Amino acid sequence: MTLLSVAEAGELVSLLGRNGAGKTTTLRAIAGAAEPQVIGGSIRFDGDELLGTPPYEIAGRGISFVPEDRRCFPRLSVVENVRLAINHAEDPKDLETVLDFFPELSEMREKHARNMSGGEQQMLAIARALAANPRLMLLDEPFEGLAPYIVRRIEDIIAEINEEQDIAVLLVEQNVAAALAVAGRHYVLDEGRIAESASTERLREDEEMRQRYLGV
Amino acid sequence: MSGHADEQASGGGPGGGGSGGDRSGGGSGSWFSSGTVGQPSLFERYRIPLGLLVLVVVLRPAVASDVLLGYDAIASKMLIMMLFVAAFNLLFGYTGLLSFGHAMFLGFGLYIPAILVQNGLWVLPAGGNVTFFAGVVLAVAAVAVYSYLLGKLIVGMGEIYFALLTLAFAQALYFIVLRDWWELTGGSNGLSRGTLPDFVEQTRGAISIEAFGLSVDWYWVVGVVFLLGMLALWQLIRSPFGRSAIAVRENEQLARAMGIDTTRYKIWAVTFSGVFSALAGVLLAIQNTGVAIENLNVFTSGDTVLMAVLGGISYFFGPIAGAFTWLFVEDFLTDFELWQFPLSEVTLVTLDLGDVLAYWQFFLGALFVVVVLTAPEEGIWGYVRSIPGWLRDRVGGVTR
Repeated sequence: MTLLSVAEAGELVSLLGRNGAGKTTTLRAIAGAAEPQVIGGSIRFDGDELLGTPPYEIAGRGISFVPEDRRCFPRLSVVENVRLAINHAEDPKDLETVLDFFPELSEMREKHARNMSGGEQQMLAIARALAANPRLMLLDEPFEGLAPYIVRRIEDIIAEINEEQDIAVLLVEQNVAAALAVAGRHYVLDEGRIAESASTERLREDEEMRQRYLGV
Repeated sequence: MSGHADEQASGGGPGGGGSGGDRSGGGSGSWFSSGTVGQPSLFERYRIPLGLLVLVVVLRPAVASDVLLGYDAIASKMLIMMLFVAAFNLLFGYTGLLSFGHAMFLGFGLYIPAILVQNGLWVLPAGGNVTFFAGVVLAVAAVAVYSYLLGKLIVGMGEIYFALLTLAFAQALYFIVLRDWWELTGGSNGLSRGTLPDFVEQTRGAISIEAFGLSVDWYWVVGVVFLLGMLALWQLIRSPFGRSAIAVRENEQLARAMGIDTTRYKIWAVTFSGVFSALAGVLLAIQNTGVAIENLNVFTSGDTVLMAVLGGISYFFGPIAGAFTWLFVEDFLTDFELWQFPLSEVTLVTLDLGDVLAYWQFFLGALFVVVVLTAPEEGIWGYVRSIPGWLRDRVGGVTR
């Protein structure tokens, strides 16, 4: 599979495609969390080969991964979740800087993740990823299962992180509308290959392409 | 399934469950989110140390009261087993590694100081106090090295293999001690003569410690070591190390993706658990005024797992509740042949339960099944914790 240069540009890019197109696998492969037998070829970050590198070292090189489900540690509080990322990153942001970014979270510092709503947990997961001060953030379906107004809030957060913090974001999404709203460039995957690479405008206009690859 | 991995009040309030914050209401709203400052109250902060202190002070008189056992010899054994099961739970409840051979770590503390005190070594005379402490240091060092290497060898192999391999290594150690090639361990007889240092005095079955012209009851010595050991465990769990260990248990994949070298944390968890277990072993050897090989066998390892699960592996106080219940039920049911109600001079009902209660393990087993079916991670302590919230709900319902 051929890929894509996102990290250099500090871009906000989405991976779209139907179920089973290989979106999540791609993301997990970059993070080092995929089953080794499903990946071949080469994954490079800043010229360094990531394939075969243990995930905790990949994290150390400036890539933060937010998986699709079970994104937080349910029995740890907000602060503990974030602090965990800080303790294990090489050049982390400090706790207050991160929490200032999420006013919702700084009001529930001691709350355990398992007592939080889906949207709050997603925010916490992003906060944790941000705390590691990465250069590339990988988000797997960040809008899944969230109420529309929370989707918009998460969209804003992701855009803000990308613009203000200059962090490249690669997100995988089923929710095409949300992906179009937040990302500037999109890769459309089909059966494990990149079928199209398109700007937001082109995807908006090209109904035939959306129908063929995304079913919307 | 929703337990806390720790006892921090800030996390869930006394209700235990997810709605603890809602229930606290009114004046005690600080259980939850109001903490913009994020500082737990003084009580919340020192809840665990206070609880441990109260436990040590209250346990013996409570056990000795007529309502419970009526004698107190078992109280110090309870504290020792609580420390041991808590050490086990550092591995199981917090890091997520189930050891089926934890008796082997206990064995280091049981045998090494006893062997050294019995035989002496170079400048260390047999029976000497210094010899004993040298033995303790040696035991801790040996168990640390052993458990670190063992962890390095087996934590990477997956949960089932970890359980089976700990069992296999424990059995190997058991047979080495049983065979007694070097005539040190006493084989199946264990060690009974000359294993105690000079400062341990025995008078009519009761143990006391003679030091600096003072005579201190054995229970209080155990109490102090128990307190120090448990506080050290508690600090360990609250430390970045402990938080990372919890993360490994909760979601290993995510932990790895966040930059945590999960294998390293597991190895260190095995090491710490081994050291604290050996510490309990040192106490147990004095408690029993000798070493019995039964403490090293597979049943001891199995009982440890059962005690932890019975008490509740999600809580710091779970192992304490589990060890207490286990030892209490064991003693209560084996010793009481006549059950009288009420427990006074004027007895209304007398039942000869000797035949039935001889099968105390059946009752314990039944209790275990109930706990596992209804609260597999919360255990007995989960129920105890939920009592205040439950009462508040009842009382609130009446006044409304």
